[in-house]
Amino acid sequence: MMTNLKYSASHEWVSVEGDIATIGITDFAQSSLGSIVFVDLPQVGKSFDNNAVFGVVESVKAASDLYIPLGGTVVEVNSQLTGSPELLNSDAEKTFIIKIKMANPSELDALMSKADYDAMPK
Amino acid sequence: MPKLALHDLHLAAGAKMVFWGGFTMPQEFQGLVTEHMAVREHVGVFDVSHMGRIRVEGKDALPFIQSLFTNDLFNIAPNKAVYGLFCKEDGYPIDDLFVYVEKSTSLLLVVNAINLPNNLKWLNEHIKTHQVTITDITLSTNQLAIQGPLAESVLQSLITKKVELSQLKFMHYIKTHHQGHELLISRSGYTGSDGFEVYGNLPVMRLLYEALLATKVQPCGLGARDTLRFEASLPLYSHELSDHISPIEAGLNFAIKLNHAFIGHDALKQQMDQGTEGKLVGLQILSRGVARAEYEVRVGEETVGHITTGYILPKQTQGLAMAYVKTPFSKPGTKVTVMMRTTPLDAVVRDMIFMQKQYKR
Repeated sequence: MMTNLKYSASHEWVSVEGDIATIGITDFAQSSLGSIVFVDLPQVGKSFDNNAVFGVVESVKAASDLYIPLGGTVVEVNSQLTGSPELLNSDAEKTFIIKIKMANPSELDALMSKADYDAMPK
Repeated sequence: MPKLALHDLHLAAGAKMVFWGGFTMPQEFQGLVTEHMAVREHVGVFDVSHMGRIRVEGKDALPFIQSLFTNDLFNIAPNKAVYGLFCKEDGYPIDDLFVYVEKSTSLLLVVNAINLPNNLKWLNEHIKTHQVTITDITLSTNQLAIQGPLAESVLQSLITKKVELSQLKFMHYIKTHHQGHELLISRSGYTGSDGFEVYGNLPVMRLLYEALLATKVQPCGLGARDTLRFEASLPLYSHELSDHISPIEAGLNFAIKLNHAFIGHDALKQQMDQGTEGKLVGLQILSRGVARAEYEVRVGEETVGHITTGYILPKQTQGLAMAYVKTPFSKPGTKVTVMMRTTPLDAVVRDMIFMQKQYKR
């Protein structure tokens, strides 16, 4: 599942299987945020337009919005993050936040490869 | 953007920068939690040179400042730093500040960075016939805070043995020389841990900062400075003190001495005698979530106040906050709701003693 991750400029990663996209935050994002203490997750069944705020991740220092890199409907949330938000610090790119059923898979084309994301000025 | 004099050393030490109080400042170095814990368990150093430093000199320096300052500067032990406020006639603060009466004709005021212009304006407006000169020495001096249980031994190892820091008590200061320059060393800080604040000119403070980093003192940024002062429930102007939160409401009665005349005296006396509309309280956040500044505090459908500062502190899982609430809702045990965006968080009013302060009395 972790092969061919795609990345957004707002520091989310996406992996796709069929019409389901799995979404998390990048290692750069967790490292910038620092110690993560709370994740505000959306309800399963909620739909979001591309680039909408779908949740909030809070580190000790601040609350940061999570932007959905693809439009769609939430089919699963990582409820482990409710009790153990620090999982995002230990392995951000193997810890998903939500899975969505994509509304428009062509939106994937706008996302970056790992090489492009790594090269992006941050 | 203006840079601190030690900017290059901060960058070399790994600082991530943020704009604050008129300066590009270190937000964090090795991480907020690392820095917070270093201060609580070992020792950390903060460059707090962004703070405003004002020299007030002249024949009337002491009576002039006393006529504006809520605390008592006349009846203090020698070499004692004093915390207090400048307030307007209505009792609401211009700023909270530390005063060092080095001589009755020479006082050092240390004020909040964001309020430096307001303080200078306030002082100049009230000089009238007083014989004083007011000099902003913020940019020609630096200020470091060395904080934590190992602060005494680390700082002592770097300065002359003629100064015995073990003899210096909380809120007392001593003047000495280091590498040919004058230093003022005060046993104070804004973290709740033991520690020192050191003041001096730019060359000597650079030498001292280099020496502190070379002895592996953890450099700390504004992030940890705020979590530490919050854990120690120390007020920050614009959060716990403001145009609508008076020092009485903030629980700073110890810093207000009504035995002398000063601007705001009568309004503050009235607040002490008759009570206030609101009060600063502690909140224990019972739900999962972080109660951040400005979030509404409700009881039922009624808005009864707002969060002034809130965190889930390092190594803790439950949130804490300071909140300004209407007095009838300020009793410990009062159940309230904090509106975190659209999610209500259950919370209960408590005292503001989140930790025992580690001051050396």
